[in-house]
Amino acid sequence: MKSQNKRGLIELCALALLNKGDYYGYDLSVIISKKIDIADGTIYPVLRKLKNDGFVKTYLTEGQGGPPRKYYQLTKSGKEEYKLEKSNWNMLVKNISVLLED
Amino acid sequence: MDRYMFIDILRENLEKNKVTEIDDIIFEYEEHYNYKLEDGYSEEEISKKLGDPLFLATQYIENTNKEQPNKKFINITGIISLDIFVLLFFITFYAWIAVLFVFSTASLSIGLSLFLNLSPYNLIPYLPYWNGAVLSISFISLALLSYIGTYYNYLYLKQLLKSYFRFHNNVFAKTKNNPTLPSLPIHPKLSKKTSRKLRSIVLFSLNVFAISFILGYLVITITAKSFEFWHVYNWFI
Repeated sequence: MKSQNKRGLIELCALALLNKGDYYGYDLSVIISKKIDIADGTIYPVLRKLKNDGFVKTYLTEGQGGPPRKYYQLTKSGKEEYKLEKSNWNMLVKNISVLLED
Repeated sequence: MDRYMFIDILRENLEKNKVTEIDDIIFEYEEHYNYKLEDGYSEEEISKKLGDPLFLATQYIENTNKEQPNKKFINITGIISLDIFVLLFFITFYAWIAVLFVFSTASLSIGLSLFLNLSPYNLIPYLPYWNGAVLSISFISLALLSYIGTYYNYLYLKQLLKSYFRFHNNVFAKTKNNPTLPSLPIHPKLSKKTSRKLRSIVLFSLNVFAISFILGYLVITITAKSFEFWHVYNWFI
């Protein structure tokens, strides 16, 4: 699949993961790059876009001795966006699999 | 490509592409290196897996300059006017602590003067010594009480200042789209041992104060044979 298309997928995966709980950027990159064949770095621009769109927000936790960790958290509008994108995705998969039938 | 080369190319191209908050972006990649290095990967491997920094730098282009400058302005003017009011409040609070401290010191010196039968600058009006000695106990315990009050108020002010400072910084961080730190509680957190100790001193000195104050008045009344002993000793002539 072309890399431009994967960007939308990464976005959906990030929303899905954050819908379950808060993660820091590195965790998201590790989990998602295991599922989708992408360069590790591609997740970070996507996270920034989600943040600028207001779907996620970040907060720091004061680590024990170490530097603070930056966590990502889904906002209210991010939850709505996830629901919408999820149903779009399910529809898309259904429609395309019909097309792909031999 | 090693870590520094990767970060250098990324930063240079982000600047070229006029992306904002570059430090925040670089932070994520630095963290990525730190975690991967801990897991035993080499810098070369990590850079390779991260992808082409030139390409990554282009991925940030569309995301910039979407903030509303108006909201930012309102937030910043809001916090600055709030700062002015809060500053007045903190100054008042400081003054209150100074008053408490002076009050405690005054009680202590009255108590000690009565106890030692001193009258510096003739400021302490005449009382038979044993009457004054009973009252002195109540003054000293009052001083103890209000010293603890002063200390607690001081701790409270310190924590409030810290908490407000964190809030202030978070508002600025939010307008700049930077991550925020968790807010701090406004109450001072004393260790269990300290607060237990303080509580028992407060209870003890409160009891001593009440008892010795009443006892003192009784003793004076009996000695002077009048409820208004100050007339007997001609205090106001």
